[in-house]
Amino acid sequence: MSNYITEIDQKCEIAVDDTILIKDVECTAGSRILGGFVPLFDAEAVERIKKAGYGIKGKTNVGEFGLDIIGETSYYGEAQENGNLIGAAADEVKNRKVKAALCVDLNGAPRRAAAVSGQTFIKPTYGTVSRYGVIPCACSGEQIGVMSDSSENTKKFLTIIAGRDDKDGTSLKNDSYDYESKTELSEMNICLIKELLDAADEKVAARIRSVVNFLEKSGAKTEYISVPEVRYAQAAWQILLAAETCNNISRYDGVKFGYRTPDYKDIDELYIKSRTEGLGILSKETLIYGSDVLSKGRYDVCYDKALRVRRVVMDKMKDVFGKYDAVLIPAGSTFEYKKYPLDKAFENVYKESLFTAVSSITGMPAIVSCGVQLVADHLNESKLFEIASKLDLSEVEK
Amino acid sequence: KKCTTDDVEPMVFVLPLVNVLREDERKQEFSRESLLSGAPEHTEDSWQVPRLVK
Repeated sequence: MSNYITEIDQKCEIAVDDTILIKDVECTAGSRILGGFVPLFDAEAVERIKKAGYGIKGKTNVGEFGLDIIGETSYYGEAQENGNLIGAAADEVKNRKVKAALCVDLNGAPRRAAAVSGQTFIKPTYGTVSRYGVIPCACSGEQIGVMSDSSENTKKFLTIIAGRDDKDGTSLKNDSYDYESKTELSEMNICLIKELLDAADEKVAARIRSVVNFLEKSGAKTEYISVPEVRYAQAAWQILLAAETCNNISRYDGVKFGYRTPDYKDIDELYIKSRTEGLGILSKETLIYGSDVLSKGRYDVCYDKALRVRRVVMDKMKDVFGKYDAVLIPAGSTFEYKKYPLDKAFENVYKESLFTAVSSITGMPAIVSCGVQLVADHLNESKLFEIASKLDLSEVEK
Repeated sequence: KKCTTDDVEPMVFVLPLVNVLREDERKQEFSRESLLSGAPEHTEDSWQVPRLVK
């Protein structure tokens, strides 16, 4: 199947995830419930890409609302390579069909896609790229990032889309960002989190070890540390993600736009059947879980607790970045994601989010390159680009 | 293992942004017609749903 929900212009070189709005082009977020929804404006990031002289090739398929592991819950079909899930945007970049893709990182899907396809993806610091025109889900953590074939190209396109936007209330004040490195790789201290290494399979662990050897040879210092808080981050992020998604998805009711069931006798049936037929099982489970953690009697022990845990994780990571320039961790448990029965999606996504939750819940930047993930302190993308620019898979695997 | 949060304040946003306000400004970016155009059913000036009051 095609990687695109909608192809706009075959000659153009930028792909845009179908969770990002393009004026007059259908936007589904991988969901039946948004089928036929045609936006009235461009997302800010899309506008900036166009202003910089690039054209949009089309809208790449995503898992429903970007909630899943690697695109497997899309109503419109998923991208696979040799029986493994790969992610539509990553597939386009890998096969050099586009120079870069704009992808929304809500729960790590583009990071996992970059890792399995050997491409580079950066999820920048929260607030540095406008979310105006992104189909909202977990607003306090989601970010537009850039997927490309190299750290250089990823940096180039991130520079284009990053910067203050008055239309996004969570946008930081800087009009632009300088991602050029001020610290050489040879001067860096990089740590690895034991708890995350232990949770990955042997192929991923072997790649991490190869990268460590390469970094050491390049003069960087590496050290293994224990951060038990990563488990807290995983649990708290699932609660926050579900709560925020539940609020945001409630707007899809079959009235104002998108899908409406063809057969209903009154308003209640219109709502119930439109949502029952329009939403996939992972979204429904997320909605139910989100409603639960926000409900009276559960709010304090779930949602409020998760907000406090977010601060605990943030404080811990700030401590870590007081000593280290970056953290090297797996992007996922494996390089080979197979299709699975979707009634297991909620559980499977939760397990996989262990590797991506720290960056999601803290808004700290993360880059995936050579199949591994590096996280840095807020606004330290330049360090991530410096490390990624030196990582060369053929050198790493020597 | 339990995470103790007794003395920890909730953190809603990850960055220190508070009271992001702007001047009230009246504007109409999109016409009524274009806002209605995406609805599964609509009249000339409203979204349309089954009758609520019988």
